[in-house]
Amino acid sequence: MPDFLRIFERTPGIFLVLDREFRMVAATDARLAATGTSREQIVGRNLFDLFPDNPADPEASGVGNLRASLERVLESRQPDAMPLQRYDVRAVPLPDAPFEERYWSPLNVPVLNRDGEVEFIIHAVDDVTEFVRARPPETEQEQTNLLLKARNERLGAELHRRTVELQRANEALKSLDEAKTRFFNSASHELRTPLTLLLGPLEDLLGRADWDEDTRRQLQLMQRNALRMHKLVNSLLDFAAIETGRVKPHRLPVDLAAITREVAEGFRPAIEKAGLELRVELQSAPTVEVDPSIWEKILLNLLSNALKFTWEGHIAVRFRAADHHVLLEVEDTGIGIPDTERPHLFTRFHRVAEQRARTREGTGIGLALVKELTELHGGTVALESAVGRGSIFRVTLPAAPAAEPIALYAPSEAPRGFRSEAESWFPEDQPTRDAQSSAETRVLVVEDNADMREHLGRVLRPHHAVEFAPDGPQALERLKGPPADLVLLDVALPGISGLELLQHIRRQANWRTVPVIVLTAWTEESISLAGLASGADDYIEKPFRPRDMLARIDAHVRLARLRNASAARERSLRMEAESSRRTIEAVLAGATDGFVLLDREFRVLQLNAREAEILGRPPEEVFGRRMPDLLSPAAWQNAAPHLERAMHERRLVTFDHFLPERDAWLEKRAYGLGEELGVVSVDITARKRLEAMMAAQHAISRGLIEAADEGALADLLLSELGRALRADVGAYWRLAEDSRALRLDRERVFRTDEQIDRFIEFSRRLEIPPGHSLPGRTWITRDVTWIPVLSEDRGFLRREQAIAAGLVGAIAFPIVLREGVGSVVELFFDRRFVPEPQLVRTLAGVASEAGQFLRRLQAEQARRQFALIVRSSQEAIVATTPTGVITSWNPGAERLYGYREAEALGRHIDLIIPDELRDDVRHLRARVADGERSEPFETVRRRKDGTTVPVTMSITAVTDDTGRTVAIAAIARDLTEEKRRVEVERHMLQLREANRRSEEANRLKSDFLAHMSHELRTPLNGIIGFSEFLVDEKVGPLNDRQKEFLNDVLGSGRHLLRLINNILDLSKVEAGQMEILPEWLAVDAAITDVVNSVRPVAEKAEISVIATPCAGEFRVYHDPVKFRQILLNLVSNGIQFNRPRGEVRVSCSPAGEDAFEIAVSDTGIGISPEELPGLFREFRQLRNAPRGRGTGLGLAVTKRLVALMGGTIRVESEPDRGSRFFVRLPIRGPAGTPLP
Amino acid sequence: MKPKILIVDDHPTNLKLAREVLHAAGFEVHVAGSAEETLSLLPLVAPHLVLLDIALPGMDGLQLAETIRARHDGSIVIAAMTAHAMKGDDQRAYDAGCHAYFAKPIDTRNLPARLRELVDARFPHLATHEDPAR
Repeated sequence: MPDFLRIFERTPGIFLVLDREFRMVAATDARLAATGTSREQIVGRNLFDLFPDNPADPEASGVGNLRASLERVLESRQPDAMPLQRYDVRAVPLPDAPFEERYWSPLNVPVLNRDGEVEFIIHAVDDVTEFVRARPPETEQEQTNLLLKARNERLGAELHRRTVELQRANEALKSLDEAKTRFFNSASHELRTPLTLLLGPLEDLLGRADWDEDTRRQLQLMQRNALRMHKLVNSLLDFAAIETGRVKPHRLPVDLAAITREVAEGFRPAIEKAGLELRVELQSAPTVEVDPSIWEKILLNLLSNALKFTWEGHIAVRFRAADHHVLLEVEDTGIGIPDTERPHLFTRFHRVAEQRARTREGTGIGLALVKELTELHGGTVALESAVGRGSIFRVTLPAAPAAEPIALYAPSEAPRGFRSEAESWFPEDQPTRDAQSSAETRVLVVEDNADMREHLGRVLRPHHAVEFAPDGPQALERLKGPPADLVLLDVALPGISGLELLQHIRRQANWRTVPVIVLTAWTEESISLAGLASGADDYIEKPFRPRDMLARIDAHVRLARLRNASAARERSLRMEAESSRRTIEAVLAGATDGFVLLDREFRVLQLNAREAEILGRPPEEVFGRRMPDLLSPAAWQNAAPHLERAMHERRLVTFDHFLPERDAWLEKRAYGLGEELGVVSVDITARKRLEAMMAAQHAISRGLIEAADEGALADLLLSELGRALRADVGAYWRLAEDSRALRLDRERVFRTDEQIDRFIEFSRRLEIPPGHSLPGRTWITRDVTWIPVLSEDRGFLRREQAIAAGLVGAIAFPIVLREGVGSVVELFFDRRFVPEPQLVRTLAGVASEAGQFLRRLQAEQARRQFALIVRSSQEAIVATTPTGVITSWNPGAERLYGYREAEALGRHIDLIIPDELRDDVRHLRARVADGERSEPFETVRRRKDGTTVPVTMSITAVTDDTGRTVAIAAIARDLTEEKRRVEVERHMLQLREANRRSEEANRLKSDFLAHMSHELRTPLNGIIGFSEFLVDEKVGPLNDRQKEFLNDVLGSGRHLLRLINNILDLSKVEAGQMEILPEWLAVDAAITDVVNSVRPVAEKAEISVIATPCAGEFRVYHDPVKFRQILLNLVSNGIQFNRPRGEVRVSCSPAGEDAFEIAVSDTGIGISPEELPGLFREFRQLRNAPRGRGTGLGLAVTKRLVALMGGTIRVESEPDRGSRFFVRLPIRGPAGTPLP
Repeated sequence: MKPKILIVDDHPTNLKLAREVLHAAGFEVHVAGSAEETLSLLPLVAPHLVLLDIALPGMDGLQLAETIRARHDGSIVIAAMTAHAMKGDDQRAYDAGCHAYFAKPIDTRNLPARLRELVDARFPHLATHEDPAR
């Protein structure tokens, strides 16, 4: 099995593994490097203890975000991606080190165990700090641009022209956008008024009892449609309000759980009508401050969306509050959202194409509104979706806790519109499914009698979620599923007895604690007792009183919950006790000092486990035996004088005791107690070995100063380390030329032995590939590696030879060069060998020093090769001293800058720096000299002839072995051609992008207009049609009041239709969609047509309309439809705002050679001077004009049409006398119209 | 014999309105909620006239009109209606083989008579019958 932990730790990504309590379990090396921590520092510690928010920065929210995300992962068991985070982490692993800003893009991924529970969370991070920070020095960039412009006059002019074009395109786009927003806004407001007028009488009508069912249904249909329009208009208003920045969240202290429930439950009838289940899972939460109307709109839009795309299964609404946030989830089991749609999903007016939905209605605003409202409230919306499986929308809003909810939050009218819309998606008369309870208690009823099941269902359903199992086998099947909260069990079942079933329940691990109530028709106490004895919690006799049953179910469910909670508590207490017992045992067993009590003959009277271990024998072998017999003679000789002295002089004697047989050093303190001697032993082997090692390390460092090649290094390492560690033999392996195997290069023998020579001889013949034997393993791990006992390691190639030579243990370490492991040092011992951690670290230090030495050797060689490259490079390479004196100037530099090498050497680098850049360059070079890294950047340099040349420049510091900067290299590439090309391309690209965006925005809005038209007309069809039908008494006779009210509805509906048509015309003109199709037309004929068409209306209002024809056959080149529309609007206005027996005159006259003028005058109410200026604006209605006659759009449309046709309109008016409108148009159509 | 009409509209309210109005005007009314349903009903109902909404889910009204024309060789009168009153809609309807085009909201007072004219023009033998719409 490979060492997965090690593999993980070496993985180059930034990963951190957390357990459920957010304790850090493992981390990759990359992570440690990024956070500047060590593995020992973090493993086992809580993430949030180690990385607190930077206390100096009140805005740091990285930790809060992280915690929220991790909690979401625990909750959802799904990966959770976090937005770009700014983390403040300590730059170096010291408690007082400063915090450093890092930008991380994190992803939290759960690791589930077999039960599907989150066991670990992988916190994976992309470090994008460098990306975020990487910006070219701005001032320099700007200056570059200026210089470039000067240099390339022609190019500059071209660019300038394109820039202006670009700006114009953007401005046009922006103003178009603003105009449309303003327009939507005022249009929506205007639409609301007639809708309200329509809804009022409808409600009055519906309130009456005297309707037959048919008529009532029709009225309800009308009302439902009107409510839907109302909703549509409101959405538009919200959207427009956000657009103009007028929506500010109005936070109130509210009980959000209650509001959520209320809104969700409002949707229940519609959802259940669709055959779906609504799950409302709310976690009661403390009072928080949130704008309840925003919350309501978000929830309504999400629910409406879920219902639209869900065909079976359920819709779930979840709510919970955590740590200054509230989380709303709306989950559905609908068609899901394909990945390709995701990027646009929250875009306004975007509608998912070709989907199976309940309706094709929809404005494409709902989800955009959700996103904008959420963001307005400082929150985020996330989507999780799988095609064919469903979607989850998650809305997280920041919400401060508050003290008390305000007494009542009155829900708005909004839900009504949404509900009536949702209900209209279903065919009528479809039976609704039995309403199921949303209660959180699930009761499983096992009952064979169908009537009884039905009865129990009626009793329980309003309070609990009920499942039925009609017989034993089905009940057993059900036990395989997740446990219910309570089981209601009939004892008399066919096939299997209720009591047997009960025993099954009690044997099932996850059902064991579920309360079971036995239902019995038998009154004999024995049965009931048997039931209780076999594990039932209660019994109820048939017939039962429903209230009694409900009360008992409730009591048992509560009891069970309490029981489960206390069982969990008990379990945790028991575990705590267990762990403290283990701790004590561990402390006792792990005592590090050995202790032994000896008598005058040095016989062992008493000793602890540690001392027995030091002696290397089990305690029972030691008791009663004399110390001289327990130690080797050499070891006893080392100790005896000190022990005798302590015994006889009755004093404390301290000495270092060497045990050659175990290569161990003990520090001994012997206390003479008269008849007895107490000896405490502390193992100081490690310390002793380290002292030797440090001496060796020192010798190596000194020796390396003199060493000339790798052979000298190898000799130094083998002799010093071998002596310090008391090795028998040492070997130095080097990578073969082809880098595929290690070969023995040098050896050093410390113990002369024939067998050892054989061992060396054998080693010399080997070629060791990566992973094999000790050197090969070291090659792979790149770390200090050892084999405690060679004879026990079957993977060790020279096992037999080593055993023959008396070699027992071995250790090895690699020397790492730039490109990987270059050589391996191997040492063998005549004893078992396990290094202390400190020794491993010291060896690693020696290895690193040796590596540096070899790299330096390599660098020397590379430097000689490099000089050759510099000379032949095409790029301009210039080296200077840190202060800027030029020391090297290659042929590339001669070509680029125009100075010969001899001219440049010894001069200051300012020679080629333009005056205005000198300060910047000096600062940059100073930073580079200080060790800062500089990315290549674009700039300009001055040539010998005084011209400037654009270049890509990269500036690097040249450092010596101590890291001191000795020179600065500047490498430049000529950019003249490339710069010109890139600049033009970039501008073209920007232009194209701006045009594309502008086209896209226009297309979206046009689509939206077309769509709006359809959407608004569809419900009007029902409203106008049905009211006409009713007014015409096609359904039945009406009384006068009914007729009057219905006429009101009809009038309002028609008004609305006129309004919509006008709005559409207006929008088409605005959107540039109104097309003009001119032809030659006779003005007189057109006037006569229009006058005739309004005559019936005029006569009804007792107005006479008089047309004065033009002289002769006057023909003009214009769009006949638009021309008639202009006339019709003006003449209708004249009639509408006239007084009885008044008149309207239409006349036509030439105006100069190329134009003609139409005049329309009336004898009406006139217009006051202060109202004249704004007369042609949208929704401008005159103060003294009768209400409800005009749409307020007629003149606005007229003016635009006139303008479109190349003409002008003006008005003269006198209050109470009348108005005169003059339309002046060019005879030959708008300027530039090609004539046929 | 009453003229038989098949109304196609996916919007339940609008379908219902047209049904009520035309039923009251003396038509034998059949309804369908989609193009697919219409095509399966056509041989069973054998209507004189199909009144179809252009904006239908799946196969839209224009495709439906073309299909009907192709299958029944012009023996059925086709009238289109739509709330999508944008430029060129009417022309597209005629191109697809519709004989008439009505913008929504429908005019409940004139629609029955207009439809009756269309049916009478194509099926003269029906015109002799008493016509409650006139």
